[in-house]
Amino acid sequence: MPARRMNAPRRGRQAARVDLADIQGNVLRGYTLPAAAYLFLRIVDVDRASALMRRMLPQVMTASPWDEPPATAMNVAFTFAGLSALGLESDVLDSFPEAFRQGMAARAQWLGDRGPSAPEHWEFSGAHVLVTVYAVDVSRLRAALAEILAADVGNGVELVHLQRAESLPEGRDHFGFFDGIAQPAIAGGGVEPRPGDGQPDGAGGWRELATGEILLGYTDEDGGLPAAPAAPFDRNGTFVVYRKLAMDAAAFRRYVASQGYPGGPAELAAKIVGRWPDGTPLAVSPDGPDASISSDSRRINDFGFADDPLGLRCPVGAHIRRANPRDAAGFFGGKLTNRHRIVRRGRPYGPPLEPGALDDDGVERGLIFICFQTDLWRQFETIQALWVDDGDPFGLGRDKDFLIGEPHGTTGKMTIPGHPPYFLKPQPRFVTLRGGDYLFQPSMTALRTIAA
Amino acid sequence: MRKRTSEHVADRVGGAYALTTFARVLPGRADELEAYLEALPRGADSPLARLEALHTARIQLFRSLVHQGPKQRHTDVLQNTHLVFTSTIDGSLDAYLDALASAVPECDEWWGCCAGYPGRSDLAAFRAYVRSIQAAPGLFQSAIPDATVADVRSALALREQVIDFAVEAQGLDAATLQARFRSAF
Repeated sequence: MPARRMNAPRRGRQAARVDLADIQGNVLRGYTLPAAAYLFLRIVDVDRASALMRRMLPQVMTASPWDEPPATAMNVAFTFAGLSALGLESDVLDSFPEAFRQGMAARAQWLGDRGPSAPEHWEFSGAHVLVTVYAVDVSRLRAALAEILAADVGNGVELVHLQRAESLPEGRDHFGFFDGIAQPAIAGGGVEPRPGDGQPDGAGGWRELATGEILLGYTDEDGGLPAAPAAPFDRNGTFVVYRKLAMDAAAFRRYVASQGYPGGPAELAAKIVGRWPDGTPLAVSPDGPDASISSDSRRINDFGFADDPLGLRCPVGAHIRRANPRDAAGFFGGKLTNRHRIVRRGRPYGPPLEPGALDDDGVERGLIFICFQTDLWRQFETIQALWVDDGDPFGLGRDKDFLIGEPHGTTGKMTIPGHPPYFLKPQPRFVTLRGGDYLFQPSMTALRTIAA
Repeated sequence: MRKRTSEHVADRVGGAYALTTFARVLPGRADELEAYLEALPRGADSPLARLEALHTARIQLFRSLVHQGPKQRHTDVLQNTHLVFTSTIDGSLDAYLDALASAVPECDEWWGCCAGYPGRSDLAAFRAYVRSIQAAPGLFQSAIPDATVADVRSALALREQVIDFAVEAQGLDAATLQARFRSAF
């Protein structure tokens, strides 16, 4: 089991102001269980599928705090096709938002999922249910999976797609970067925030994000309740984005090594990402990684971009600055970012590329990107379509996110501000979308209603 | 009654002209029209991409009016669905309408679902129809009022050329850079 990094100790516990026992786990606080499997199922017999759900209900992990991590944890979410297949009333189905009803494939043009990332190349489609199983190690995961596959799959549901994932040593991704650092602190969620979690408070500090940005049924950043589907889906549920992102680690290494960038390959990689591989933010330490920052959970995420409007430390087009612009110029001290936050719960899949290797070994690897939010369109889709797949909001024209954006001919580039600036052009392909979907993760109350 | 206008002062900012029209959709045709508009190709394949003088156009259906909140004094009710066609263009309205009539036969599909549309064969009637459904824009702003569409396209091409030059010339010494710049531009 990969060791937990020293710089990412467990977040402390606080009194919660939400009903943790009614909320599925992994939303308010991320599981530390390193092994995961994602089972996409299709309902073929509603009665038997409901009976199956009744049997599985007691195993569904809630947000109630753990004293000791369990060996395994299971969660359940549904696509719109899945909720339809379960025979929900049409007025309930119609109450779900358009983006969810359409599903991710139908939104591909808007999201920038084109070319090799387009839905016609995806590995799977037509799923109804996503059962996610997390485990403390691979053998426990195998055992839990074997049980589900033997006892449940084929019993009213069939398996559409099975994806395994496992944390890499030191919490790194396949490009070698410590990932998943920045998360919004959620008001009332029972998790002690760290500096940098949440939103800039306008006074140089941080405040928690309104609960209703992540969980339905609570006040959101606008001061009202987020638009929600009909009862019992209107409270303690959340919308889920699932994306399987293949990462070409060899291409990334070759690219940064071959550019002749004056600061060298390591600095170029850091400029593209916005952090050094150990997580040190360029905004705080532009000249090199600093262990005193990256090993301190109170410093690793405590930064903004307002004092670096030109991007001389962290480029305006760097991946982490696009995906979460914080208080950057043009975002009014965070007032224009607060409605576009997501909780990320990704896991890498596939074995790491051998250290130093520059040639592709033909092994598939990448990231299972998972995020939670109350509004798919306003949160994930806005980040993906306007901040990743476009450059306009940052004054970067048509340039896309150089790390994860879908390359577009020969016009894409990245500017690394400096004296003189450095240009990268054209944008190569590092990441390809292999499949994905939008899901709804209901409250425990709603799950019991569905299973009844 | 909305104000009708042919050359209202608010219609033009610099060289850019704003056309706003509201056409009453014939009873029972709105769904068919919506499906047609929904299926129109976007981007480079859009029928409107054929118009050289067009900055932006928008074609949409108004089926009802949104209540503006507690401060709204009167409740406005839309008796009929309206097709709203707007354009920001270079040059004169007549020249634009002529280009629309000759290059965009799709006009017949959307305005053909609306009351009083005469078709495109009689150019004078076509112009008169669009003017008859024209409304004065309450406020018109243009980000680049003095640049024509052609100016914008050529500036973007120059921008790409400059970027390519900058990429190629990275790291050159000053004298080589100057020589390269002179030969490139």
